[in-house]
Amino acid sequence: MSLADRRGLNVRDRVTAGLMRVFAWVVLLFILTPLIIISAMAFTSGEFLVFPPEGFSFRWFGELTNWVGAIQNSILVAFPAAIIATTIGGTAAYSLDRYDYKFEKLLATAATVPIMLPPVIIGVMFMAFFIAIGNAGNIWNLIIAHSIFLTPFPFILISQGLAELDKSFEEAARNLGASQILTVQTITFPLVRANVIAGFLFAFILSLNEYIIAWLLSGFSIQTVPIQIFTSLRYSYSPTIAVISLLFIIVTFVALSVADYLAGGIWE
Amino acid sequence: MSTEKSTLSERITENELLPRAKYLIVSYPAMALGLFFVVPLFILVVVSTFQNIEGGFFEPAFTLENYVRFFGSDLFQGRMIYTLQIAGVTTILSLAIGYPLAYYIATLKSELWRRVYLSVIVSSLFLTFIIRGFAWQVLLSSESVIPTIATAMGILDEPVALVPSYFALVVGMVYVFLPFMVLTLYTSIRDVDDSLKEASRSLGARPLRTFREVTLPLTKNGIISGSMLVFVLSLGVYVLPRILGNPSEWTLAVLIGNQVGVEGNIPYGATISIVLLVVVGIILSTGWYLIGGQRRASI
Repeated sequence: MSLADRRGLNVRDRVTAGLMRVFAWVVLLFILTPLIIISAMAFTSGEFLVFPPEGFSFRWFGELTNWVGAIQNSILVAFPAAIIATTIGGTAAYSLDRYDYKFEKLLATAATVPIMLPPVIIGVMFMAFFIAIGNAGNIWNLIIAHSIFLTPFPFILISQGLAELDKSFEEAARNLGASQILTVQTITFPLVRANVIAGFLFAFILSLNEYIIAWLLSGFSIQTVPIQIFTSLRYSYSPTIAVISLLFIIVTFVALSVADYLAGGIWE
Repeated sequence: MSTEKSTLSERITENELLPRAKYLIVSYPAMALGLFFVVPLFILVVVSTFQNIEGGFFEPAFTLENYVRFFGSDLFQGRMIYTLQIAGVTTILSLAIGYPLAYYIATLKSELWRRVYLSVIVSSLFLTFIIRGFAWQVLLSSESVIPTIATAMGILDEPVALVPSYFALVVGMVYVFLPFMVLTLYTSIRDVDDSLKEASRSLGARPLRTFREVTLPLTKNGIISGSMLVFVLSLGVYVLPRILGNPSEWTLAVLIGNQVGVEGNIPYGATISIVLLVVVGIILSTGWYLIGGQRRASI
């Protein structure tokens, strides 16, 4: 801020700026407090989830053994779902960036809209679909539903990457006689790799965290972590829920920091 | 930009080794989305006219009975209005809180702090509603922090549980949807050309006036897409009313979930889904129309 600017600011403007800062800190506190409190409660030595916790212990971390199955199922769904979502979103982004089609708008809409729809509708839609084709209650149904629901993330991120890409590198490769496939392998993909990985990680995290689609499509047989948390909330308030929440907070935070770093500050 | 793109694709097509690569590449996403998104959507519409059979199955009927039931029922009508109302409250509060925050972050001088703020907001965004709803359930329960503080401040007579309630639901909804608002507004505020603000300032306008007459009008699209996004996402909320609300706070999405997951009535669940889908569609297309269609609402 230059000297001239500073002279131009009167007391009222400075008070406004100060109030803005206080306001921003209060809202940040509002965002962080619940997460911090949940994390703190994971270390309680008491029997119940109350805040402040009644002493410090790791005893509830031992209970994680009851969650191994759900964690396995969550990863078993999220990993393939994120890979499929990334391949669909990536190929859609690549073809829309490179070619003109008559049905361009339709494809772009189909690849963007699913995340905007209420998840419960996605769940009912796939339930009706899989019952209609006579294939209900299969773990692949859930994987497919999550893939379609989460395709918009890799699609939007990879589209952004391709739009910002300097096309002269690819042209150079093509002029030197590289085939289209070789160009994609050696030039295009390495240049948008960060967007691809970020898209994958976003889809992965969201699939891990998704509840309602998973619940509707699991046919009451596949228990994922969110399903098990929701079920246990109905019966008891065991501090184990805080432990598993803490685990989820850490995984989510780490994966997102990686995704954000790779994509070079997604919201910048 | 577009000329550059077309020359490139022309050149690529010229010395093409795979002449049909154009359609080969697109066939995979087109088929995947067609088969597993467009077809299921179509089936959802068809099933909404079907008849329910006990045990979670259905048979073709092609009647509008389900729609007649929906629009003839005070319960479902009431839930529809309630859902729209709570989504509206959430949107207004998120905008009121989100705009100043987004503005503050966007105008921070230090890039490091901007990234710290954004990381916190983005990370909280991806954490399941269940954990965040659960956090508020704990915070608002009778022996917990907030009722205790409220009692000490004289707002409450004694520490009582503030959950489940309408208040708890609104707090929870603003909590989960605020990040979407902040991020959308942030992008929009960052896009405002600083030289315009400089110009306004050097012509003697004070910060508040510069904000009102330069920044605010230029971020109109951000306000519209952020509000639209939050409104649409709020309409579909299922987990939070279940965790933070009484049955009187249940939204349409909860009713859909119950019809399908508990009652096993998929056709009726499909009918309510279609009604909700139409509402979402109307809002999305209005929003796209308002921002001139040049910017797709992205998350």
